[in-house]
Amino acid sequence: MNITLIDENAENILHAHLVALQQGASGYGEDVTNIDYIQCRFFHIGSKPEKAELTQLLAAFEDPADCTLYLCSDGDVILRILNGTTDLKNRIVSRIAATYQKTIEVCMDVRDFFIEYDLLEGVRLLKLECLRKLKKQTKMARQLEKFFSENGLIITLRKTVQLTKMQRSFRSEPHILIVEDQIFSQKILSAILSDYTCHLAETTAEALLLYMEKCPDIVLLDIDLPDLSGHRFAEFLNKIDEDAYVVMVSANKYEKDVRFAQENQVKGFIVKPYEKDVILKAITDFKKNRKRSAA
Amino acid sequence: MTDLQTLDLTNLRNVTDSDAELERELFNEFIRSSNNLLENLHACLQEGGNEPWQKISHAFKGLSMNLGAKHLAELCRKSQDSWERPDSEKAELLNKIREEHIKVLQALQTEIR
Repeated sequence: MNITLIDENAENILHAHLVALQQGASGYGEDVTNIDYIQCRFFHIGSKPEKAELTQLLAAFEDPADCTLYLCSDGDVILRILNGTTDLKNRIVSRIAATYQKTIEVCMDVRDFFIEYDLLEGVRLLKLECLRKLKKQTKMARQLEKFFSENGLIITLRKTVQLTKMQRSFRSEPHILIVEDQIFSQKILSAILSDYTCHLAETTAEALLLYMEKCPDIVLLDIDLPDLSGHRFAEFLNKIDEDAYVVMVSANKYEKDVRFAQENQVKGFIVKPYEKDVILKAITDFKKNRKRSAA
Repeated sequence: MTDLQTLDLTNLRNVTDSDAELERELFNEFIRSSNNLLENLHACLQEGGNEPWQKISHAFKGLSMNLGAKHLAELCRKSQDSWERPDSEKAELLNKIREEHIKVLQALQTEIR
C-alpha cells in the first residue's frame, strides 16, 4: 500500500517522521520508503503552499493509480478543514485533480493513523531494538579493547605509520580527522573547517582505518563514541604514532576527562558547544607547533 | 535554570554565517537525532539500563548545546548526572526533557519557515 501524508503543520509531520526514521528511513520532507509496515511518503506543505512545494508534491504522483492520498493532520487542522476555515485541502485537491484527476480520499488525525496501522506497536519493538543495539555496542567495545591492546598489532601499525606519514611534510595545510558519532556535530565541525581537508569517522574502528589510510595531521576526537572511549583511542594513537596530534572534543570536562587527556598527551581539550574561534585556534596552535618543531 | 533560553542560535549562526541552506540542514539533523535520542531514553527507562541512560543523556546534552538549546542541554546534564537515581525521578526528568524538546522544535519550526 502506498500512502502519502500531507500536512501544513511541521510538528505533525515530525511526529510521523519520527516513526519512519526509527524504521531506517532517512531525510525530512523527502520520500520515505522501505518501511516494513506500509510504504509512506511525507510532505510538509506550508499553510500557504508555494508553487515549488506543490510541484514537488505532484511530481511524486507519476503513477497516480498505485497510491492513495491521505490528507493527514491533527484534530485542530482537520476541524478547520471540515469547517472550511482553511482552504489547504481545496488548494491541494484542485491542483491534484487538475493534473491527475485524483481526489483526496480520507481526512484523519495523524495519531489515529498510527493506531489504525499499528505503528505504535512498531515503535515499541523499535525501542527494544535500540536496547539490543546498545548491548551490541558494549560487546563490540570489549572486542575492540582487546584488539587495541595487542602488542603485535601496535608494532605493525607503528611501522606502517612510519612509512606513510612522510606525506604530511608535502601538505601546505593540515588534514583533519574528525571522530564524532553525532552527524549534527560532524556537520558543524565540517562547516567551521571548510577550508581544510577533513575526514569523518563515527567510531574508533572507522577512525583507525582512516588514520592509517589518510595519515591526518590533526585528530579532533570525541570522548563518548559508540564502540570505544576516545581516551582509549588517543592512548592507542600515541602508541602507533609519536607525532599524533590529538585534540579532545566533548560535552564534558570532568576532572577525570582532563586527567586522562593529560596522561594521553593530547594537545587540546574543546568543550561543546563548538565555537568557530575556538576550533580555528586549535588548528592555528597546531600550525605554530609544527613550525616550532621544524625549526 | 529558568533564565536559560529555549533556543539561542547566536553561536550556530556564527558557524553557519547565516547560510540558510546549511541551517536548514542542521535543524533537520537536530530534529532527526533528538527524536531518536528521546526514544532511546524512553526505552532505557522501560527496560532498565543505567549506563545507556547516562550515555544517551550525554549525547543529547552535546547535541542540544551545539544547537543552542540551553535549557534542554541543562535538563540533559541533570539527566546524565541522575543515572543512578530511581526510575521515578528519571521519568519525571524525561517528561521535562520531552516538554522542553517540544518547545525547541516549535522554535525551530519558526526558523525553518
